[in-house]
Amino acid sequence: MSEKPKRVEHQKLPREVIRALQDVVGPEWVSEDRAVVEAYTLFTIDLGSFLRKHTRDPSLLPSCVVLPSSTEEVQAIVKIANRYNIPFAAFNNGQVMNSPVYSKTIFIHLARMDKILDIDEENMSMTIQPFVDYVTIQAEARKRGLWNGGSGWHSATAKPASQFTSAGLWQTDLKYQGLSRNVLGIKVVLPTGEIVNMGSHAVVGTGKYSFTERFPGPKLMGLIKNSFGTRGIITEITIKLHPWVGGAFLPEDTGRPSIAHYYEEAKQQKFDNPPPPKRYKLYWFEYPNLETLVEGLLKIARSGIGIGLNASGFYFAMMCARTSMEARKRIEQQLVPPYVGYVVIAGISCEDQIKYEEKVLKQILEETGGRLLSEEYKPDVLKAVTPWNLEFAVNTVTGMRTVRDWYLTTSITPYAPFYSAIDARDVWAEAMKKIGPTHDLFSPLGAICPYLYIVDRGHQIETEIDQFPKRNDFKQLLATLESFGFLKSTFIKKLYYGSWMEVPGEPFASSYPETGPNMYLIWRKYRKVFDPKGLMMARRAILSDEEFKKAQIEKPGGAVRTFRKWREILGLPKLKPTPDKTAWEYPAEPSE
Amino acid sequence: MGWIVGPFKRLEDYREEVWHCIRCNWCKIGFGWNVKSQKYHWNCPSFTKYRYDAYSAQGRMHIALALIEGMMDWKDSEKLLEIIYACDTCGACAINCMRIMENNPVEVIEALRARAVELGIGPMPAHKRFGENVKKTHNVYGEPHTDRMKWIPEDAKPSAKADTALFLGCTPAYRKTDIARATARVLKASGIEYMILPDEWCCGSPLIRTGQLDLAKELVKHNVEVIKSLGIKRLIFNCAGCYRCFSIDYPKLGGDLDVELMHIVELVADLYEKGKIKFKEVPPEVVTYHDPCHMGRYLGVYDPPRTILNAIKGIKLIEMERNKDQAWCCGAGGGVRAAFPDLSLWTAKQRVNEAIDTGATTLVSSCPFCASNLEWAIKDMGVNMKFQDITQIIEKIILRS
Repeated sequence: MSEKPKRVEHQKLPREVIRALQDVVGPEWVSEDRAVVEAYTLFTIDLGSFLRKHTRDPSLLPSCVVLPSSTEEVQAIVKIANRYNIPFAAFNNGQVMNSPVYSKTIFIHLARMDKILDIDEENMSMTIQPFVDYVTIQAEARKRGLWNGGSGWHSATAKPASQFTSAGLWQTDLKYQGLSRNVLGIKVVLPTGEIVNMGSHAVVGTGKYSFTERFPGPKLMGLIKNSFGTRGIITEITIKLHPWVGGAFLPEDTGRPSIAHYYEEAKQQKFDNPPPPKRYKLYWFEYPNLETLVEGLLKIARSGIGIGLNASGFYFAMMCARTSMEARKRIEQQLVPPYVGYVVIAGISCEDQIKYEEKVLKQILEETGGRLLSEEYKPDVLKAVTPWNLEFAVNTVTGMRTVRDWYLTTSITPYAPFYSAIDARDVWAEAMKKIGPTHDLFSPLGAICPYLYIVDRGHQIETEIDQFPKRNDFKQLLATLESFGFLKSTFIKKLYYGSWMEVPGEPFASSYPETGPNMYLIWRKYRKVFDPKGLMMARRAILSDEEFKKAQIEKPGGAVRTFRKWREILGLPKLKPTPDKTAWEYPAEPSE
Repeated sequence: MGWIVGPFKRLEDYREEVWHCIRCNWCKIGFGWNVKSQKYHWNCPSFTKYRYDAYSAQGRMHIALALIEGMMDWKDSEKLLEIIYACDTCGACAINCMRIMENNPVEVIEALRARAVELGIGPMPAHKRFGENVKKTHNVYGEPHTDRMKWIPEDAKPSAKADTALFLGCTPAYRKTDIARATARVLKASGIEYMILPDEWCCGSPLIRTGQLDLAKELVKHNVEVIKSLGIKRLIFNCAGCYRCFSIDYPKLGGDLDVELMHIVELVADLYEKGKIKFKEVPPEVVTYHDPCHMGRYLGVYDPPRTILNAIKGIKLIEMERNKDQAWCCGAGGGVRAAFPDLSLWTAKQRVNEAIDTGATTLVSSCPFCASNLEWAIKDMGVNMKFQDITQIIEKIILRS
């Protein structure tokens, strides 16, 4: 007789805490129901939450979920958490690393804070509450001849308020440089409950006139940026808007799918064929190999043309496919060549701007060995990537659609633009050899050509390699952790900063004191100032002295052991704890 | 028909699918390219009203995961039944999820409901009445079975025997008889010889949607036998729910029929395009069209009603922001109208407001169940908006060529 599976129970908070929370938001907006909290245990890019789900870790379940509707309510909730010493975490959609670590945690879900507070056409800015997503920002801005310049990874998942605390990649990073360069001001509820206005919001009353991220407030925003929800909850954010010349509404797709006939319609290519917006044109090109592709990309980027420039044929093939079967077929048949890229050219000033930039592009392609795809040359490829006609503007299908098998970790090696792309490919090829793929067909693709985002006119190439484990397969998840440890250790060895995504998160940060160096200790200091009781996202992104001692020295978990193993194998310096075991000695001892 | 056909799967059969949900959140908002404003960017009535993730497809998928893996028991939550039943099963989540992840969360939600019924926990009390009524009177309203054909107009009587049959459905037969009459007159005016099943029972859709599959099987068996025994070659529907049920659910419940299935709007649009019928001009009127979920999103019938409305001189059709596969539900489906009238009315009001924002004065649809709910909302709101089923427009202006 098989053993009955172990039920997982959540720990409830004292009644007085629940009552206090209910007094703030109203009883209907606080729930500690078992089914309600269950919906807050798995997060998008959070390997830890999936591994812990498999091991039935009860601390994955928050004690209760609270839905505030205003900054003041967020503040009151945070103060209650401080009063009763209860860990808390705030989130929007739960994109990155939100799962709690302590059993008794209050989850603050910002789903009711969904208002656009102001659109300032003259100063080209928009002030929004945290639950406003990129899709709606673009829809409202477009009607005013504006847009915010791009959409975060998967525009339903990413919202500016939360993306600002984690990352920010857009298809249009070439010109607009992603979210981190496009935030003018924020209102933040600190972990202790104070409200602070930063950026243009710093002087009360100026929030509406957010004209620059430089003045008048002190540049405190950098403390919140990439803080992974450890230093405050953004309750208002003002973002830049830029001119949009593509019309008030995006063009209609040629058809719409249905549920019953989805696969037939997909086969007939009935939907996912949108034309580009007027005065925006995508030019697709290919190169014979990765080296010439990167060289060409940098030349195009530095020439000043275009608003978006990205590459990797494989990923496009996958993301533009209507079904996973179609994606698989495209890869197997090599429909989209591996060294393909595109540049989005916008006629912002006039139609002639497109003509001029096209001329420049053609010249660069000729000089660098690239070739433009056209109705005469590989028209089937152009047809296959039609979703990208709108994708650059709204980011509807990227990311999760890749292979319908999820992608879990992304490893990005910024800086040293040319070599980082080449190195990323080679490192991934090495990972494939050592650990094996987590997806039979798609994982090895990064070893041919990773996804390349060209940022800031070629100052930087962000290189992304994805893994595709099945989430219901514990072994595949462990293999993903292994390759993550290999990648991270290798990148550190090669003196790359590593992934933006993992840096502030634990146990990565304290496993790699080279970052910073000792960035984990700087964050620990920040935490002591911002969050003296250590309640916000406790143990998730920053470890206290005691937490470090436990997690790294006395009782290292699976992830820590994996990272340490790969450090050792790859010959990174051996980490030696300080006498009180609350940190590493740094510089570490060189490895033998 | 496509991938959806096959027997109803049990909850455990969705293990891979539920782990597959990574909260991309496209189950909560409109497909990015199609969103035109903040006001109308939501797509899930249940999440939009309740805001807890548990009330979204993502939340329900994760709850299903916990139940399948035995991490949670059905008795652990007081809200569980409400969570799985406060959903119109409108498929707005499913169409996006299929496009992104190739999952269909509505199937999982319906499997949760079926399991709740198996365990004796579900359905909701209001849904149990569906079953009780069907057992007694073969319709969900508990009306006398003998009254099912009471609506038949003198001027459009069906034939006693024909290759084509009109499958009426409970709502047109007992609650929206004006739509039933209009349908009969449209068929008559089109020159279609049709009959009505002498012993038509509820199609089973309300039972299937609420997890009462065993009872639904009896209805399917009966209707299929009747249709086969009469040698019917074509079934016409004026209820989008019945149409979807026959098209998608019947094959899953063993109700295979070698019969052509079509909605009245498909028939009329086809006749119009072939030049067999035409329409009289009407006084100038601005209308907007509400796609019933069962017919639009589920079966992909988007163009025929638009073909008809655009063909009528005098009518100007303006689309609502959320249309076709992205249409906002009327709020009546999935047993919500019976068990959660507040959610149902709130959902319908959202739709009426969207219709008002187009500038239209008439809201048109092609489902009697949508009609009931949208009319309820219009009345409750006291707004200057008229609802008309598309057959009610056609019946007055249809001419044979």
